[in-house]
Amino acid sequence: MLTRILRRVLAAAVLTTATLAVTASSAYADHVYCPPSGPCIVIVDTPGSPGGGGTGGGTGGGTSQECGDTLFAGCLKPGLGYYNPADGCFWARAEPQPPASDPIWQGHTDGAVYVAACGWPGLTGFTNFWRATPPPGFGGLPNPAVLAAQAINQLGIRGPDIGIAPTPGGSGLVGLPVWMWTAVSPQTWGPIEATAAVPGLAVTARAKAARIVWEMGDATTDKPEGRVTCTTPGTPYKTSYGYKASPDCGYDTGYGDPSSIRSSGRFTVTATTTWHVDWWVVGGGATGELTVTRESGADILIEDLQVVTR
Amino acid sequence: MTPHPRLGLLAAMATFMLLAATACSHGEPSTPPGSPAASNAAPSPSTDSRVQQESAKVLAAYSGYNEAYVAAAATANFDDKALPRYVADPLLAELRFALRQQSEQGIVYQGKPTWAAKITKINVAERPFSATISNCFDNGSWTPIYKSTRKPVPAPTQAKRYVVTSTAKFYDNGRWLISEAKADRSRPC
Repeated sequence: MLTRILRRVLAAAVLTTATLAVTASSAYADHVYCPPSGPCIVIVDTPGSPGGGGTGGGTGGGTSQECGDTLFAGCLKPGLGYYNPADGCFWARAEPQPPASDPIWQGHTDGAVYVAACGWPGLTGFTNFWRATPPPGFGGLPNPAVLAAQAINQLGIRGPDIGIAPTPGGSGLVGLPVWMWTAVSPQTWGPIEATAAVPGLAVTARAKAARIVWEMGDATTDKPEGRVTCTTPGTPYKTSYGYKASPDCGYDTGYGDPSSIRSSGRFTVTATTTWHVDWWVVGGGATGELTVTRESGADILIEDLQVVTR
Repeated sequence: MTPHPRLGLLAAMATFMLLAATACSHGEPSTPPGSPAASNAAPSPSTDSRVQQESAKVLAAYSGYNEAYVAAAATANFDDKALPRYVADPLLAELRFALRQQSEQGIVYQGKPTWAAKITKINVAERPFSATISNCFDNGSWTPIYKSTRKPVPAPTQAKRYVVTSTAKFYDNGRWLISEAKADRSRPC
């Protein structure tokens, strides 16, 4: 008897996993928004409320969306209960709970007895089971976008680990090439992955840096700021390179003015990494993509060439 | 919910079969005195009267369940409030699902089945208290029809009189509730 139920459950699980991949993405219009600093949030974009509003990305509260023509984890089928793709059953709390002496409890005094309706859509075994904890998806699952925001927040991606020649501790000269780079690590250039999960639903986010925009901090009333876009992490400068320009990421013309034109005496270089982030429900389902920016800064000292040549 | 086309037929058939499996009639007497009510308990005058008392309650619950279900099936009322007074999960979930399917298919039941139920086993000596009910069920005059057309729902040829075995349990709310029902269509009666 038990074997028969299990077999039915397994067969149903195989079926439903396959359909989930095709369909679940349409169930959610919400998307993740990651501000340049601070945690990512979910923008709720439901048909009823155009424009939507932000909700905290950290809560992961359950939803109980009704199952449509196709089933997804944690969906509610009225009269049957919450769907668990892992076993292909709908689960509801048994009403009433059997008496404590009933063998269904197997001697346990904790947990609860649930009635499982298995084998959808080929009707169907209705069977009581004792469980220590509710089945995955019971009571509904968080919106995948909420878990995606959590996963992205866990990535720990950040702006460049700024390398620059001349070094922030030393000084450079007007008109000489400047080299910019980031130390490459999963957090500064990627790729990097993180997964956020609740029982019954897991979302993985994967981030890869696409580019770094270097703003050189030298704008004046006469001249816009030097701005260099690099699609590589850049090449760390070595003294053996002399006055050569960076092969892939440099401010090759160098600064036109000494940093003494700033009251601080230094130019502030701002480097902004644009991250491309993909997320997906593990095992198939909703997916999404977004860009996230993270920035870092460094101050450098540039001295006037004429001081040296005089 | 839009029913799957194939599911629709399945559901209709399943609804029919489930109803056939579980429904019973009005009017038939419940267990007559001296019916074959068995007990695990040692036979003594006081246990005998206890068994008789509880057997009557079990049959009353069984009767209540069948009457409630026949009434609910007549209107495809899946939210019937009487059922939970006589039925527990998993049977309750199964009946409600059948009624819901019936409602989605626009099927109602006309007429009434008849039944003759007896208790074949009862345990009121040791918890959990439980009883087994054997019922000769006859759905010859109980027909699923489409509500809109009043035409009978097509169904495969099948037995009309057969044995249905049910389980009753005594719950913490102080009531006997029917928690399972299985039809054996290969056992005419």
